[in-house]
Amino acid sequence: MTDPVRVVIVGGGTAGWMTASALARFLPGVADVRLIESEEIGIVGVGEATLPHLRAFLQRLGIPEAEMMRATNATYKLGIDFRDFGRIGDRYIHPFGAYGVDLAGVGFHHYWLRAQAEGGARGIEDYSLPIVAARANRFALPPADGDFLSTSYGWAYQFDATRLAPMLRGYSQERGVTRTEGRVTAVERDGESGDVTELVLESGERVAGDLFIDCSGFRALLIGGAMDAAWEDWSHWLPCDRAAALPATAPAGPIEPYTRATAMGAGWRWRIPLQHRVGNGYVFSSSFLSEDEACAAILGAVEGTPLADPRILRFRAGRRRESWVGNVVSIGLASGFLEPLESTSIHLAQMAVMRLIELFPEREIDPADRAAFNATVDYEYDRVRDFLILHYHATTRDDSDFWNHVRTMQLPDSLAGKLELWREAGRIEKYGEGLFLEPSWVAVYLGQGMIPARHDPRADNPAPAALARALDDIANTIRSRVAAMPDHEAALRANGAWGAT
Amino acid sequence: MSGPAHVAVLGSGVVALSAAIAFRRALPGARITLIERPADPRALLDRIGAATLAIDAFHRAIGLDQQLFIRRTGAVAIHGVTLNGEPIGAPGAIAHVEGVALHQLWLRSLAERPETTPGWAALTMPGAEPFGVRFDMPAYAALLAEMAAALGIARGEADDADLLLDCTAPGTDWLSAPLPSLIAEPIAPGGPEGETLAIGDGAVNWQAPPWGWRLTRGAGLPPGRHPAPRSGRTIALGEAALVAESFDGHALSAAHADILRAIEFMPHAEPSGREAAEYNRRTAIAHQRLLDWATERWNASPSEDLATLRAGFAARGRIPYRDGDPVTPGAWVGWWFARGVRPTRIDPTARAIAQDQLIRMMERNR
Repeated sequence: MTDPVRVVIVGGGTAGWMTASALARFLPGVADVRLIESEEIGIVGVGEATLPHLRAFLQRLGIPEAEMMRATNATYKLGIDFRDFGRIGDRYIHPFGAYGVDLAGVGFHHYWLRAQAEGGARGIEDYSLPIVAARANRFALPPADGDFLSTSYGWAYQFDATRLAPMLRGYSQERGVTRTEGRVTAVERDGESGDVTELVLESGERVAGDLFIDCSGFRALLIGGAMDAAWEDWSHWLPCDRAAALPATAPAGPIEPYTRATAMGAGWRWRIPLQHRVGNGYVFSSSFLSEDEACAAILGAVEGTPLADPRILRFRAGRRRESWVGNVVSIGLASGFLEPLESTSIHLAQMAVMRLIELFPEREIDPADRAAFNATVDYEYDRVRDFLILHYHATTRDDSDFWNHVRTMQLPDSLAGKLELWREAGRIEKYGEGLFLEPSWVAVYLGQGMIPARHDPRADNPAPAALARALDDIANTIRSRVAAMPDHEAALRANGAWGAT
Repeated sequence: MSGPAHVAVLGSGVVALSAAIAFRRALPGARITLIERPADPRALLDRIGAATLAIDAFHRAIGLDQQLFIRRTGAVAIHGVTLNGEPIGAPGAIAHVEGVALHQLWLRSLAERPETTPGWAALTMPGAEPFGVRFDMPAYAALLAEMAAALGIARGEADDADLLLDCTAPGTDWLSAPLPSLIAEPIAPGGPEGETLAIGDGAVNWQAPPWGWRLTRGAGLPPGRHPAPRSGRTIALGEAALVAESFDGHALSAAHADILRAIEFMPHAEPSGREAAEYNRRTAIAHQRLLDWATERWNASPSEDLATLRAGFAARGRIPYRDGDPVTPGAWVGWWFARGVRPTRIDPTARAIAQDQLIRMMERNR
């Protein structure tokens, strides 16, 4: 048996403990994992909302959903409610699920576009089960044996991210991960290869390893510090570089099973309802708004009673040109940052962890494995980036310098091509891997007022009355199924997910 | 109607007939005309009755009853293939056990307990999906011709078509691939036990229950692909778009996939240039994957992508997800194992499984 690879993880935030958990679960005896964290350094707790993909990660770790939800005061999330993005007063939900049902192999939105042009369709949201459920504050897990419509959605979580890491810490330690309390003060490298050999802690302790995982967040202690990996800056496309975060008490009324993103004068603000409180924050560009002004704006906007003073987080959009350099792999914020507009941060860490396991090296690292890892991370970030830029660019807002800037900025070629395809033909560029499939793009395009010039000609096949009937059937079925769903809080309690502490 | 009112299909072989029928189904209000042109004598698609399992979905799309297809063409499913006597493992997805790919576990078992580890084919074939179907091609062409006639597809000339489907042969616009140009001659059919491939001297003897073909280098169609199969009001399909014979039915299935993709991106009466570009992008990915596959099967000079894929497998048995690859991971792995490729390293994920669990897993399948 080969000796285990000594893995040293630096940083005990969400990314660090996700990495430790997965290595402990999937590579027992192969990876000998040690995690160094300092209690003095806080957890950023990236985002309080997730994507549905996290469910698969927890399932593979064998962590019951209800247990995780109780520990983190989590609520269910069916999508994101975008307000004032396309223009002030507009509102749409980007759902975790499909619109309608594809008919005769043609995407539903093509039929909707035709019916809309002929004046015979309801709003597109009436044909999405997760949106109708979200608007009604209802939630149910999809039935195991349901038809397409009743299983046409996924769900994610809105949770207290600072409680996820401690839960995964317990999980990891039970499976043999060693936790070391301390701060890294120096990094020793091999003179010839440049690989990291040892970390020196404040206590004087030296920690040797074969593979080092940088989960130190924005500080990027190893990947940015010792390895000096270049940073690709995207702030010209995504100029928001600050967030003023503010937790508040939950206002009276139902808990919304969705996150709100409301466009503001120099960015947007999130509202994430948890079981016990509501997370709020204003993501803004410091080129267009001062920190004090942002704090005042978020204080003025929250609905409940603030539970703390606004806290400013500073960041910049972009990613490392290479997330794996030598024997240092960066995961999480050390690797890249994209603002939480689509709740992608935890997913990007999860994706990197799973790819690292797939490409887990021997002590001698194969450059091809490193290249494959970096290629994956690149396109995952690039695809999320394009999707985020779309939210800013697809607007008619001209009420502030910020919106004038993002509305008129030069787009990446990759996004410009996607936009052109939609405008000309109502089609979505397809790719096999990476985030955001057709319904997500359709949601944002239509939600932000971009009606394409044409739809699929095959959508013209049904006679008008037959099409109207088919559309009505879908909307009516959705309405009646949602009416049978429990209220969101009742669903949390019934599923054993209610912790509320 | 915003689509083409009149679709002309150029050609006379199975691809032309299939395309005409498929467009007839997709555009019930349009006129479809088959402009018959004699088949290129070098064309292999009209001679070799072989397809992957994807033919089922194609037949559903064009409304061809599967039982009728079997009855009329004598189609048989292929449940076993040998390569120079060595059985090939199952195509399709690769099973995972505890999150670990089965072939990685098998490689570890083979390294640790070679005597008691079953063969890859023995481990994967029970209960697996067939390799594909083999049938009598002239009977299939006759069946499609009847269907086209019954659906009111006219034969004649069409000067006023809004859309032309070119189902003939490679034209001047062509990206050549470093593959042998092939001719086929009939040989004795295979036995009922399955399909056999005998490779040697740069030729392949391919024998299945309904027929046998010997593929040799000669004055066949030029292997390669059309750089932009959809352009203006024309879409090139079948051998007018791709020539990549991999002696396993992927060639005809590629033509079916092209027809379905052409329908998925149904052009408007006034076609969109950006939509054509997207169609061509996705077609190019699929075609290049099939050229890679044929390159692997003919042991020809690999593209950069194929070289990377091979190297990853040779190093650690890695078989990454490949966007738009019509060839399944099981087909790639089965081929490499049958050719004797054994990765250098045991993948760490396989090493994480307890040894007694691994032994039980292999013994169940011995």
